[in-house]
Amino acid sequence: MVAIANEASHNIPAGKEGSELTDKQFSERSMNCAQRLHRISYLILGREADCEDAVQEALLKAWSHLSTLKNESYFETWLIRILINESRRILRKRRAHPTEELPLSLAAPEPPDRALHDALMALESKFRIPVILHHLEGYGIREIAVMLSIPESAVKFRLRRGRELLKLELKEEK
Amino acid sequence: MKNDPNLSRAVPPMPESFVKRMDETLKEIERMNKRRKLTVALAAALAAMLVLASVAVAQAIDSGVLNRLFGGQEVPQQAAELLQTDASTVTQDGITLSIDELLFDGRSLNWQWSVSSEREDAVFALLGYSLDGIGDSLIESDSSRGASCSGNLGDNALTMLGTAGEVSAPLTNTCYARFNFKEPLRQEFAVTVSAIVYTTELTPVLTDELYPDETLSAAFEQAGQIGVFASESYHVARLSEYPSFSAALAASPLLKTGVYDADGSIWNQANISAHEESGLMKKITEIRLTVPVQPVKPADSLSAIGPQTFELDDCTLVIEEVAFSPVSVTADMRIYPKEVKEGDSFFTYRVFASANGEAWYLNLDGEAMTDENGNLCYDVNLDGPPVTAIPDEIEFIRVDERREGEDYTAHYQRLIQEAPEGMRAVMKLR
Repeated sequence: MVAIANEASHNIPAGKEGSELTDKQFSERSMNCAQRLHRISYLILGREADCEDAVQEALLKAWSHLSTLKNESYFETWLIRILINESRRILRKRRAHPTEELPLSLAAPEPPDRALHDALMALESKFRIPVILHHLEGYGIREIAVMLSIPESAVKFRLRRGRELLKLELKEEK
Repeated sequence: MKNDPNLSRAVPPMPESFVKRMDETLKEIERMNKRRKLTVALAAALAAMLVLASVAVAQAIDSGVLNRLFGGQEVPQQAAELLQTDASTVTQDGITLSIDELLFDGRSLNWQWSVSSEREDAVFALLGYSLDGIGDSLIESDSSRGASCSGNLGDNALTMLGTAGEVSAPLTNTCYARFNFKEPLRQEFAVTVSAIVYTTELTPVLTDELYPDETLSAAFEQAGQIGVFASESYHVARLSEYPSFSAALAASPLLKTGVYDADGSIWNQANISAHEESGLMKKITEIRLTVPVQPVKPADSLSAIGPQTFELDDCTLVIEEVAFSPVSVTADMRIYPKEVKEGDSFFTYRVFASANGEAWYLNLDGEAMTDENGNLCYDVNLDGPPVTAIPDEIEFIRVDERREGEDYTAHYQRLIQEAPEGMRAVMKLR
């Protein structure tokens, strides 16, 4: 009989000693915010294949650093912050290797409102991300400030500026 | 926003492939955790079930390279014997450069080196490494399988050591690097590491990992400051990746002096002379250290096979190469689905290796691509941690759904035992 013995795998660090969340709870809570993770990564990256890479890395990092999560009630915002970091890392990599061949997308569904999509994506990410987090995902100023590690005043400024820019973009689209 | 557009309409529906990737990743995490728990709590029970390969010897080895390769798992005797620990060290002007460990198995080279400062002032060390005696053509050039280095401290990377103002970096920076080779190497060669060490009158400014560009911009706009990108384990000036770099480059009188490359590259050897000429950086020492790599013995030889094609029910599998050694697993293959289904990915497939009645699940990485003939396929490679014995065969199996109540180990065992002919391909390795 062949038994699964020693599974060679990628380097998932030893993990989450000391954390109260079980792996099952971690999975459930992660899956519960799948839609949100997809929307946020998509509106940062704009490419489904990159979103999948970002969420995979974010989950692995979140799991391996679970012991750093002090308050489990903030799990979701904490995971989103990691996802934003990962998405930005992918963006930086794209800029550093602009000629890199794009992964072939097997399924690239069209957004319901293409003009809105294009207008939003035309914003600089520092304006776009707070706008998404506040106006699409419903996070408050303080939560966004924690998520992005920036002062609340900066969140307010970026939201205000982001809204103005989005309106301008939408006018131009029309 | 009043009369706001509904922003959710800017996002396409979440594709199944996204959920699937999340699900697969979470299953991997659960599986890894289960295995750890089993290892600790049920070792005795498992021992009765598992047939241990004769070459796998549990060892407590304090080795950064082996820990990195085996992730704290049991280290096979063959792998431990390949470890070169005759540390070599050189110290100049308060800076020590060391090659701590080397491990060469004929097909891949892993090593750990470190740079330390005993100086009171903060220094910037430009680190580099090279292989002497090997042409570049022998080094794997595929980005996912080529040279890799920890913490982005690769060739021509700058690390800060010590404390300057409010910025504090560790006094020692340890690096790991890995080279994969296109074919087994039998010739002698050596590893050289180098550090060019500078002091500066500039004031380092610590940046935020999330929004580094803003702090960097501010730093650039004030002559006499330099941005230092900080993360958990390393402190590196990495400038070109940030969106504001070009604007900062144009705006800052400091930058116009030629401290940085015009194309926005991070500091590198090419513009060190500009640093020095401008008087902003002062070289204090240059250190090089070379250590010969011990050639592998015939007994450590690899198990590798050439191209083979398998026709399965729902795909054609082309295995270009599979190679195992005591410390590495590499594989290149292409999967041509007969029907492209939304949500499918290379995760739909699994590869197991087995020897002496023991089996290992091997992790894959890959992406969809169009081959040279315009056919859609998954280009899959495997460059994973080693298994504890060189296998007799590998088995490629298309994964089905996990049954209710079936755990991951049972699922894999069932796949191995029950997957029908058209869903599996077996390759004998020896």
